[in-house]
Amino acid sequence: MENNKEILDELNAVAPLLNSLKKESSEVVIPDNYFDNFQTSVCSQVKEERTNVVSIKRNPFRIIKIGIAASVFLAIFFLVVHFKNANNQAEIIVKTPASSTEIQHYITENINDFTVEEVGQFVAMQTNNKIQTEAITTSSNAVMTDEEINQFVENNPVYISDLYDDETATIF
Amino acid sequence: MENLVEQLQQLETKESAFKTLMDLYQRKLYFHIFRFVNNHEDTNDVLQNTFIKVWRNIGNFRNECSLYSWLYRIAGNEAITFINSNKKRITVDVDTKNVANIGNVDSIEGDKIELKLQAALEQLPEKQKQIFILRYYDEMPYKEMSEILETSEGALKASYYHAAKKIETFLLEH
Repeated sequence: MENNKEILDELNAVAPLLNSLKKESSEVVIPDNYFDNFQTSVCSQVKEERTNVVSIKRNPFRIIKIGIAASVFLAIFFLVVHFKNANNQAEIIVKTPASSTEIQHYITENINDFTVEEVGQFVAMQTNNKIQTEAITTSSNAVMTDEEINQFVENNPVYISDLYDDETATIF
Repeated sequence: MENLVEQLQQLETKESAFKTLMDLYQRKLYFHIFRFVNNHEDTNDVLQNTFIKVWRNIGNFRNECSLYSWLYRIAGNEAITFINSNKKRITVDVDTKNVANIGNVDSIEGDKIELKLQAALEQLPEKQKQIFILRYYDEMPYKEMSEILETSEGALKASYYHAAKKIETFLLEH
């Protein structure tokens, strides 16, 4: 550790006047018992700080209150999310009706849930659509008369048995 | 000292260790801070802020420097922050012109010399002032100053010489 003499010599080399003044400088005047009172004051401040922290950590009522508030918030949050999701799903159902392929697939999957009449109705509907589509695409005017339709149906008969796959024995 | 740090970092012993810490350092830090702010009231405020900061942050102290250096660093920073936030209010009681009326340094009394020195210190840039206080008043070795100010010993020496020279010139001219 550097001693006082080294520090004085160093200063003397740069600022001899300043070096000579140091010894004459007056003492700082401090009030009586200042340091005792100072400790008490600082300790009371830090104790207060500590009490505040502890009260937040340990007060059970505060924790319960926070828990209740959090539960209410979560419940509201889930309700809002659930309600929004339900609305979105309803919108999807309304906006995107199932295509005939999807219906056909559904019937195939759940064939046991349908009666023969119901399947027949669906096949007839499909056939009608097919005829209409062909008529539209084949006719230059895109309109067929009743006679033309009857003639087309006679020339292109559709039977339920035609719709079964012989090998797999499943419909469509 | 390591033991004191450990005690300060444990909740059960923190309070009693903190009192020990204050017993050890409050006087030294008081005089150190006083050199920056030049009056008792402000010194008291800054010293309180320093110890409260120590209380709050002792958990983060990692023994990378000595506790002593760490305390001086906090005290110095607090003093500078205080001065900057109260720049208009804190002035040396005697301004440069009035210092000239005190008289020649050879003939004046201790109190007046102290006032002249304070006025001279006010002329220094913040960092240079801090270096001068640590070396001239606190008589601190450059190695410890280097820890506190995180500056090389060479740079500190150069800065101290400049500061001492400026003060010497001020004293001779006023």
